[in-house]
Formats: sequence, structure tokens, C-alpha cells
Amino acid sequence: MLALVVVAVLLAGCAGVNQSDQSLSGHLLVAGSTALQPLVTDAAKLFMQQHPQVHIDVQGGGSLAGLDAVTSTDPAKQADIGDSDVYADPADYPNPNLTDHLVCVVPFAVVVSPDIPISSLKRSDIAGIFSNGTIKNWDQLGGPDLPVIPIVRTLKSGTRATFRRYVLGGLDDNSPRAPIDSSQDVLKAVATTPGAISYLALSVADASVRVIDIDGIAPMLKNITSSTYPFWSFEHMYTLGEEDSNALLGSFLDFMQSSTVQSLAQQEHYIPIAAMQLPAAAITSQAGAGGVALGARAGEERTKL
Amino acid sequence: MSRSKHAARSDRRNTQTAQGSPALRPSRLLRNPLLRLPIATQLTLGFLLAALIAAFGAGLVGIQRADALDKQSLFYQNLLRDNTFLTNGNDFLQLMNTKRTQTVTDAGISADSLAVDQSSLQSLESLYDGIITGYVQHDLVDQHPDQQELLATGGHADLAEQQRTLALSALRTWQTYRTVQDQFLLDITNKHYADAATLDRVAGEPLNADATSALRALVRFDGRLASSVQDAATSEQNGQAVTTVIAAILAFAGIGGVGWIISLGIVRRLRQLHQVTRAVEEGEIDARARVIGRDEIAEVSVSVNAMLDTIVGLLEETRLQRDALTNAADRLFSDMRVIGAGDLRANAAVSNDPIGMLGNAFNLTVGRFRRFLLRMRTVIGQLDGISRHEASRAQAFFGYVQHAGNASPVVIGNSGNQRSREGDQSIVLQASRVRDIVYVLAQEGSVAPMRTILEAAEEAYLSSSRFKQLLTGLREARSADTVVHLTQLMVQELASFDAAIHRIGNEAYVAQQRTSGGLQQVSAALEQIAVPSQPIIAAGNVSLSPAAHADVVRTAAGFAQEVGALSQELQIIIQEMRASIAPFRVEEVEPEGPVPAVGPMAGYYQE
Repeated sequence: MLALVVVAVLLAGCAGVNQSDQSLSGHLLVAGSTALQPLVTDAAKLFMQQHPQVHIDVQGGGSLAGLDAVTSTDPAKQADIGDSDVYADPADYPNPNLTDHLVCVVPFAVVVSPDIPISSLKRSDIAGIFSNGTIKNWDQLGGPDLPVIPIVRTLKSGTRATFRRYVLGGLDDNSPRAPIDSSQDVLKAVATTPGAISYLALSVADASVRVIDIDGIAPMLKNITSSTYPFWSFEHMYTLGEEDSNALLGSFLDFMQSSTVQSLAQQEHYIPIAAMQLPAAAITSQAGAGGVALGARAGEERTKL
Repeated sequence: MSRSKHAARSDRRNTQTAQGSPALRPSRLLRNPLLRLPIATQLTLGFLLAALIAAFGAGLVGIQRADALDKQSLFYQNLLRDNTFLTNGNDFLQLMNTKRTQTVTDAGISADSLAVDQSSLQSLESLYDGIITGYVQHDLVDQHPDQQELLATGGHADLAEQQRTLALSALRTWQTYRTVQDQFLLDITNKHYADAATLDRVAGEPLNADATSALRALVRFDGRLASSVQDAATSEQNGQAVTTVIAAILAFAGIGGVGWIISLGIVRRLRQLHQVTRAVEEGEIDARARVIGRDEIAEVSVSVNAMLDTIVGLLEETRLQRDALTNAADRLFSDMRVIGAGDLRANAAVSNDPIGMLGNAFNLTVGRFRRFLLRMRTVIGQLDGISRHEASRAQAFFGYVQHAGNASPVVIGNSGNQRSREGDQSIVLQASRVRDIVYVLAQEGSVAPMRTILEAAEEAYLSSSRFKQLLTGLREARSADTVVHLTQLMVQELASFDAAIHRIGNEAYVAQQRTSGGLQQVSAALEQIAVPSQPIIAAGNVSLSPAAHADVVRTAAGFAQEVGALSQELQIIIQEMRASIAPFRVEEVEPEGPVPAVGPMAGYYQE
């Protein structure tokens, strides 16, 4: 009897060890998206408060820089986590261990300088401004007689890639001005340049710029979670699949998914991952038809141009 | 006092026992229903219970394990199938990419090839759409509660949400790409080959890459799910080990508990039974075993109780018998004391018990003694009468002889001389014979039998005193055996007493016979003397010579004196005898009728 009890206690103890918290220590380098950078920085601070022996270094540089850093073979440049607004192209980042962690959703917005009294633009109009160059003056869109000055991000920018994919339908965006490297700079540039139009993360936007609806749909939470507003992106944290072997990495990634960070994300104008809904069209069997209809409509719009 | 209390208690118990069968006295029966069952069944049940617990534990673990394995294998099957589907989907995406580029190449060169390319693209599109839509609709973990449960067991509940997000991501990228591809196909159909080529380059490739990337993330995530299932399996194994140990402990405790209860039930009751038997052994005949349950031990307890009840009843009966015997012996003893004091009117109580029979024998003996006494009294009276009669006769005869001697001697004639002489001679002879008879009578007829009677009376007295001692013993006797033994001794004593009395009676009869016979002889001799004397008296003393006459007178006077002396002696003996029977008081009327007068003595008596 005693022996059995002892065995039971030992077994219970073994089971308990797996659950117990091990004190974490070490160093993490996080690099990439400037859109995600504020959230990751704040989350890292919180995490370091909880685990004093941990140091997390959060750097910007753009989404593709983050992907480059995480897949780098040079130990000096290698980051543990690459933040990205965009998907890693399997052709560019063929590392099979590259693992995607969707952390949150970042809503983007098309913004204009405050002196442009326009609240909504069609996607075709936006394409006319950025891709085709067919719209050169705001009076073409019922605005003041001001030249349209499109401002774009650099090629490394995830925001730019998202803008091209989900707003321009894959088309290029061009600007007579030099591309700008960060969202903050874009904000300043748009706020100070009359007739300027650009795009940035909604979390960065403030009252100094005017946020524009796309196709009459405002960048609001419900429109994004239901996927009616197109200009948003998943925020990715790419790793090389070491989260199972590296306890610190795994813990930090789990921490990013935790309710603490998710509510923090909400405060910082990101959208928590749990708020996202599968598109109704995908869940019902009419997904194909819807897709075709969408495609047809897009085609019509394009033909008008 | 304590004896009577004891008796009352025993009575109460007896009535209790009589009212309800001891087997149905259910003390604490409900507290342990196990005790209703036979011991063999109790043991069987105990071991069966333990075996059941063990089997249940083992079965539970087995079921858990089988269940877990089932879930895991199902999960793995699903993962494998999903993985195959998604890998196929990845191929389709790649093929769409290739085919789209080829379509751009074929545009404007071969209308046939273009048509084939278009239909291929459309079919690939619908194939991939089927895969990704089916996956989102059916294969997400949070659509399968059992899979969710399994992940939760491994501590990876959040993985379901991640999977959903990744699926959402894959779906979104696919839908975006498909919109572009549909536009591309529309451009081809409308022969806007330049637009189509631009779309292919600027949008088709990156969006296809996005879709592929998102799909790869999903495929990779399935790999993570597999390792999570492994974690869940490990965790469940730990749980099963704990369950096994708990089941083993429970089975052990069950076996121990049942064994303890049974042994407690058996051993405690056996010990109690032992205590009861020991208490009875030490004299507490009130002690009884408590009957608990309905099993063999309860049956034995009931039997022991019944046996004790019977034994106590027997003891009680014996005691009552002994008391009754003692009381009867007491009464008999007081009767005997009364009789010993001389009052023969007492009558002992008669019953069927040994003492009663003793009393009966005693009564018979006393009755015989009483009759003997009466007879003695009668005989003494008769003897008294006879001796007085004899004395007066002798007195009269002596006076007559004196008178005849003082008158002048009678001259007896010649003719009568010879006859006179002969008559003288015969009178003398007769007289001397009478004297001899009286003498013998005095010596043998009265004195010897009296002595024998006195001896027998002595013996009877001794016997009665021994009887008295026996009675005292009987009064103090405790056990039935002693009582019976003493009673037997007393019967023997009474028999010897009876024999003594009988002998006294016989001797008295013999004495009476002898005395009566002797007196008859005396009477006959006196008659003979009287008859030859008549002629002489009638003739007027003619034939006697003076010498002879003087001789006759002298002889007659001597004889008369001797007779008188004998009768006085007889009177003395009679006085002694009367004095010896004087203390005995007897009813005056003898129930068996008066003692018949014996022989010719009646004649004397009636005179």
C-alpha cells in the first residue's frame, strides 16, 4: 500500500515537472516590419519585465529585411524572428523550415493631405492615381484644383506590397517622388505636402492626415474582420521552426498570442487575431461563384478604365 | 433473596425466548447487511468485489488507452489526409503559375493551345478551390471536438485558433490570387494579351507566391499539430499511469476493507461467543450471546443460547425438586419428632416423590407399631386380670385349706381310705404341676420375650436417631444426587426401623402366646385339683387320715403361697410393661378393629 502511494506521488511529480515554469534567459533579435514594430517593442518590454534574464532586441527595417534577417546564413546578421506584413515568397525564401506565425492584423488606410476634402475613393481611382497615371489633379475626382502627389514606400515595404496586392489588384504603384522608408515619414510627408496621397498603417495615422474610405467602405474593425474592407494584412512573425527547441523563442511567440499582447494590440489600433472571421463566402459552398462574380466585377471596372 | 431475583430474571428470559424465536432477534442486523449472508458468500463477495475493482480499473485504463489511441490515430489519419490534400493544392498552385505564364507565351501564337491553357487553368482553379474550401469547411480542429480535446490534453488548445487564422490567411491569399487569375483569363478571352501579360507579371506571380506561402504555412502547421498530438499522447499516458495506480490502490483498499469488515464481523462475534461460554463456565448463567446477522456464526450463537436456556431450565427444575424434597423431609422429620415424643397419632403427608413414599412407609410402620402397642395394652390388661384372678383364687384356696386344717382332722372311713389316699396324691401332683407351669410361665413366657422386645425397641430407637441425622443431612443437601442418595439411605433406615418394630410385634405376640398357653395350663391344673377335691369336701372329710390331711394342708398352703407370690411377680412385670408403654398415646379406637381375644383367656376376660 505504502509502495503504491509512493509510486503514485512519484508519477504525479513527474507529470508536474512538465507543467512547471522554467526560468527563461537568453537573447532574442527581432527585426522587420515597421508596421508591427510598435506592438513587438511593447510586448518585448512586458516580456522582459516578466523574465528579467531575457533580453529582446526589436529592430525595424521593413518586412523583407526581416525575412532576409531570419533566413540569413550569416550568424552576425541572423534574427530569431522576422516580422513581416507580407508572405514570404517560397521562391525567394525556399528554406523549408521557415514557419509563419500570424500575430495580429494590421489595418492600412489610404490617406490624403488634410486640404483634400474627399472622404472616399474607388479602387479604380486609386489605381488611376498610382498605377496608370490617368488622374493627375484632384479636380478630376471632384476635389480642389491641386496636382495629385502620390507618395510611395520603398520596395522592401510590406505596406507597399499589401497596397499593390489588395488595393491595386497587383498593379504597380509609381511616384514621381523618391520612395519613403518608414510609415512615420510617410505620415509627416502627407501631412505637410498639399495634394499628397499615400498609404500607411492605421495605427500610425493621426489627425494630421485624412483617412479615405475605399469603395465607400471605411477602415473599421467590423469591415475588416468581415473582409469587406480589403486593405489590411496579417502581421507575420517568421522563424526557422526553432520554437519547439528554443524555449525562449517558443515562450515569446506564445506570449505574442496571449490575451495580454492581443489586448495591447487592440489598444494600439491593431486587430487581435481572434477577431478575424473566415469569409462567409468560403464557409458556404458558394465560394467559387462569389469569387467569379468578384473577378467579373473587377474586370468590368478595369475595362471602364 | 438473590436466588429469587435470579429466578425472576430467568423467568423473564424464558418468556422472552418463548415469545420470539431466538433466530429472529435482529440486533444490529441492519448496520451490517453483509452479516445476513453465509460466511462463504461473504468471502466470495469480498473477493469478487476486489476482483471487480481491479478489473474495472484495468478495464478503465484499457478503455482510456484504446480511446486515446483511437483518437490519436484518427487525428493522424486526418492530418495525413489534409497534408495530402494541401500538398496537392500546393502542386495545383504551382501548376497554375506555370500554366498562366505558358498562357501568356501561347497568346497570339496558337489559339488551340490557348484554349487548352484556359480550360486547364480553370480546372486547376476549381480543383484548388475545392481543396481549400473543403479544408476550411470540414478539417479545422475546432470543428472536431475530439481533436480539440486531444490538443487541450497536450496543453495546446491555442493551436486550433492558430490553425483557423492560417486557414483564413490561405483562403484570403487564394481568393485574392483567384480574382487576379479570373481577370487574367478575362483579358485572354477578350484578347487583351498585353494587359494579361502585365497582370501575369505584376500581380499573378506575387499573389500566387502569397497563396503558396500561406498554404505552406498551413501545411507546416499540420506538422506542428502532429507533434502536439504526441504531447497529448504522452500526457494521456501519464494520466493512465495515475489511473492505473489509483485503481490498484482502490482495489487494494477494497480487498483490505472487505477483508477487514468480514474478519471484524467473524472474529468479533466469535470472541463474543467465547466470552459468553467462559462467563457461563464461571457461573454467570445469565450470560447470552448476542445474535448478529444470519450467517453460520449467528446460527451457532442461537444454538448456544438455546442450549444455555435448556441447561438453566434444568437447573431450575432440579432446584425446585430439591426444595420440595427438603420441605417434605422437614415435615416428615417433624412428624417423626412428634412420634418420637410418643404421640403416635401423627400421620405423615403422602405423595409420589421419594420423601412422600418414605412418609408412606413411615406411616405404615407407625401404624404397625401403633397396633402393636394397642395389642400390648390389651395383653397387659388381660395378664393383669389373669394375675389378679389367680391371686384371689390362690388366696381363696389358701383360706380354704387353712380352714380345713384348723377344724378337727377328719377321720376317713375304711371304705374310702384307699381312694382318699389316691386323691391326696393326685392333688399334690396337680398342685406341684401347677407350680411348675407357673414357674415356667414366669421364667420363659413373660420375662424372655419382654427382654427381646426391649432389645428390639432399643434397635428401633437407634434406627430412628440415624434417620434423624439423615433428615438433617437432607435439609442441607444441595445437589439432586445427594438428595436421591440420602433418600435411599433413609428408606433403608426406615426398613430397618420397620423390621425392629415388626420384631417387637412378633415377640409381643410370642410372649402373649406363651403367657396365654402357660396360664391355660395353670387353669387346667387348677381345674384338676378342684375336681378331686370336691368329693372330699362333699363327703365331709371322711377318708383322710389326719397325717395325710396335715400334709395336704401344708402342701396346699405352700402352693397357694407360691401362686400368690407368682401372681405378685407377674403383677410387677405387668406394671413394668404398662409403665414402658405408658408414654405412647394412641387413638382409643383402632381403625382396624379390636384385637381379638386369644384362646380361653377370653373366658377370663368376660367373667
